[in-house]
Amino acid sequence: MELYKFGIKFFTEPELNIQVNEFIPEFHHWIQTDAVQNHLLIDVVDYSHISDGPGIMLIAHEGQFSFDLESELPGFMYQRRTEIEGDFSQRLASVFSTTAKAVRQLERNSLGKPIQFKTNIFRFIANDRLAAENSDEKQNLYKESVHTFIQRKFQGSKLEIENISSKNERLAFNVKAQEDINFLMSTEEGNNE
Amino acid sequence: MKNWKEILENQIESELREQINIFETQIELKKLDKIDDKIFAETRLRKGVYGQRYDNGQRNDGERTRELQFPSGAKLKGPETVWDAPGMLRIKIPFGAFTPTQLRVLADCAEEYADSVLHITTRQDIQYHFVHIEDTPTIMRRLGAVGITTHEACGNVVRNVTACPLAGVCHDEGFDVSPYANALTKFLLDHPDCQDFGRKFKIAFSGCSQHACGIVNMHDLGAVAKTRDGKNGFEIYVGGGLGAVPHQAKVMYDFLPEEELLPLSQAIGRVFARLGEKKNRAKARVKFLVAKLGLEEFTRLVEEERKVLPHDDNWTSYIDELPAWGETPFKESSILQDRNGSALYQQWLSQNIIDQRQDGYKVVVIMLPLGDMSSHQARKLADISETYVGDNLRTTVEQNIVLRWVSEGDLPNLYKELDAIGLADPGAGSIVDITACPGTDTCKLGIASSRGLAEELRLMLTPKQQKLDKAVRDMRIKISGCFNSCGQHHIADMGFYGNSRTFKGYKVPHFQVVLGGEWTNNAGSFGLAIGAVPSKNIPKVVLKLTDYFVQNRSNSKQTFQEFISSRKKSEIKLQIQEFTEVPPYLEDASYYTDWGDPRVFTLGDMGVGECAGEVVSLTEVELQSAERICFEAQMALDEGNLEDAEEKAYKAMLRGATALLRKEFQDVSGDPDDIVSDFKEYFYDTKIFWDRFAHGKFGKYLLNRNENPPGNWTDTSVRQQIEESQLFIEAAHSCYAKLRDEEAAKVKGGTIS
Repeated sequence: MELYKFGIKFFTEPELNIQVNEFIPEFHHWIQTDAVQNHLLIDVVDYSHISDGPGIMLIAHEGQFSFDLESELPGFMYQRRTEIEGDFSQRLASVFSTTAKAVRQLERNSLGKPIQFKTNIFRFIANDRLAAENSDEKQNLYKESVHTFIQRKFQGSKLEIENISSKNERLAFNVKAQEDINFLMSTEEGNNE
Repeated sequence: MKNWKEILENQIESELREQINIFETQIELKKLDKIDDKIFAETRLRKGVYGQRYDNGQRNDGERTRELQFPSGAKLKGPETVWDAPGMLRIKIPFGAFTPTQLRVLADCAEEYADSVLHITTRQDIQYHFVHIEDTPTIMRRLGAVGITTHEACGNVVRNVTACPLAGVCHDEGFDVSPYANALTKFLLDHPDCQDFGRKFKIAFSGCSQHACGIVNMHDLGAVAKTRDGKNGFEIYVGGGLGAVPHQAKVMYDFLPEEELLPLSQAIGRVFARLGEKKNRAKARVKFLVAKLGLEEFTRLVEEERKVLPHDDNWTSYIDELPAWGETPFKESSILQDRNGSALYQQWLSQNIIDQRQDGYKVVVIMLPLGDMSSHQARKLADISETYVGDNLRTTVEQNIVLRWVSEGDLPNLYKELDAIGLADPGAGSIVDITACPGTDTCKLGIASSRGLAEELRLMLTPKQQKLDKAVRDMRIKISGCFNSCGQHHIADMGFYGNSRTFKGYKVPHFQVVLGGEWTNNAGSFGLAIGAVPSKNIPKVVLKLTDYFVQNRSNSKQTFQEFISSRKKSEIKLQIQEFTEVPPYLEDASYYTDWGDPRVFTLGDMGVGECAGEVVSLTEVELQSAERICFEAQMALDEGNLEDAEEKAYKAMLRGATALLRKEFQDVSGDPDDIVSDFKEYFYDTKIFWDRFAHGKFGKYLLNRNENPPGNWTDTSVRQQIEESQLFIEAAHSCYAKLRDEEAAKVKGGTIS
């Protein structure tokens, strides 16, 4: 499992009517304050004019953070771009941790804007069609790996894994906890960075 | 696991495969520091691998300028271009034609190597941003496997050959220019006679002369379809171009038989390579060579070259295949029975649909805000295209996409499917369909946020669109982030290009307002600069000027372009005067930031220094005066007083130079020769006046005019002189701001007490 280019996305609560471009100053603030550990933050890009696109992006050398509008399901996504040491489980732990921390940070934004994320569901997106083509075999492989990782991290929680990507899209699936688990909170307690 | 190179080995055409392999090796050699920075830069440019903003490893975060500490450290991929810094990749889409299969791969690569966005350029290319150079060979292979190349997308070579996106389906065309554009693209790609240019070379095709789609008038070489005695041929234009100083192309041949198109282009390439400027980039385009030699002499040299060209079968081999060329409709034609639907659908039907020559078929224009489409949208659009039109997709120079051969009866369902992915916005070809270059978002040369302004105007105008007068609704707005015209501001009804002004120690983003350019007639004439306005006031300027037009036009059929041509510039300038004022920072700080960017529009070391007092300096007064004189030159040109206009344009430059000299010396001579001599000694030779990218180009305008006063005056030459004067004054503003920045930095650093 050579995949290192993959992402995790947490979704915003649907009742929030969020204008993503209102968070542009927050991302600039993150650059000013070096707010993301182990990342060289470079620039902020506004793609909020694309209705089914990456929204507002915070570009880092190591990966891209986006307040994403894909498929009308707003959320915050982190996609890793550069290699991470360790096996896939360690890489997953690192990306999961970076995403969750960034989400919590966005919730506590310096602008005082209210924003909340769903805490019991996230999306896994493989962003490398060579290492992780969207086939049944690879889907099963990555579902199993993610499942194992989450169960280990959140002590045997029951999970539903939903395949959401169609044939031409990247391999991706949603992971949802059947019980009331807070993926974000637990990550803060058990940091894998 | 196999890599992409191994997987795609046999799917890429051999020549392209070899080029990519070579480029990959060059990357490896550069990593070992075995290639000079400058040479590697030109090498990668020729592969479409461009630099991007902040790639010098520095960025101002709004508080201070920070070093971007990339893992590769100081390793470079060109002069002052850091290896790890994200870059741009330009992908050639010859005459804008592409297929759903290609679109899917373009979408995949955008996701995996860029920022998940496909950006359509004003020359029908597609660009990715935030790409790492080491990913580029893989991207090239994946694109190459579906017949797309980035080869010669940038650099001093023949760039993407553009053409009218309606070619083949247009009512008014002489004939379909697509196969000719295709043949010329293939013929000139990597052609040995086109490898030694001093600058880029741009070619465009148009099916007719009256519409704008091909905009041949602003190209180095333009070809307009024409038939004579039943034979296909072209009206040939040369020496056009926008850039800082726009040139209208000149008609080289009224009719050139089709079989001469390729050899003529080759001969032009040879002449350009041999005689075109090589040292001074600012004068290295074909337009300058044509202007220098004169059209007659240029034509004579080309014809001489043509005579000695060794015969090449490729010149005409494609002509035999022309009858087989052509898109076939994907579906049977049909009639739209029911036009009912929502208001937005009605609007879409009236604005985004173009009649085809072929009965029962329509062209659907997908208006892309800022020319952007996400990889998700692109992939879904590929699916939609396969349902409705097959391979009949094209990009446009207005940064849109057209679906050709839509069976009319499919329009309601097509609308629904496009609407579901956010690609059914009405307003194509209207005032809300705004063209903008990347500007400060990603371009190294951007001064002000062209995309930010474009989006602001789009959001402001969209809700008003249906209530606007038709003549206003049909206007074109085009925006460039700097004077280099990538946003084609010269050929818009309302054009804007970014600049900056210093106000009480702060830099303020501005846009120069350029009015009355002609989009139709293949970019028939260029607009004139009216004055610089703070960026944040541009929306008000748009509303004011459109209102002024509607209230004062001679009749309801008069276009904005005709209206502007008929009015005195002083009168128009008066309309925008109230918007030129900048409120003090403490009163309204928003003027000191750019659209969509909360950072203060200054360098981090700027701020309010000790020397940035409230008093307006004499230099600022003189620079203002220079702008006024330049404007008077435009008015004189309007009135047909060519000699007077030219003289005023020169005087405006002299005043600008005086302004700078006044900053350094108490006594400044009033004699033009003394002013120029002092300017040369203290500002030009010392490079203080030099622009970081344009170098001494703007200063040269003054030196050249002083050395070579014109003996005769034509409308074109005087217009050019005024453009140069305007640019000289912009450069003087920048120079003054730079000097003040340096002073402020010294004060902060404690070197001045």
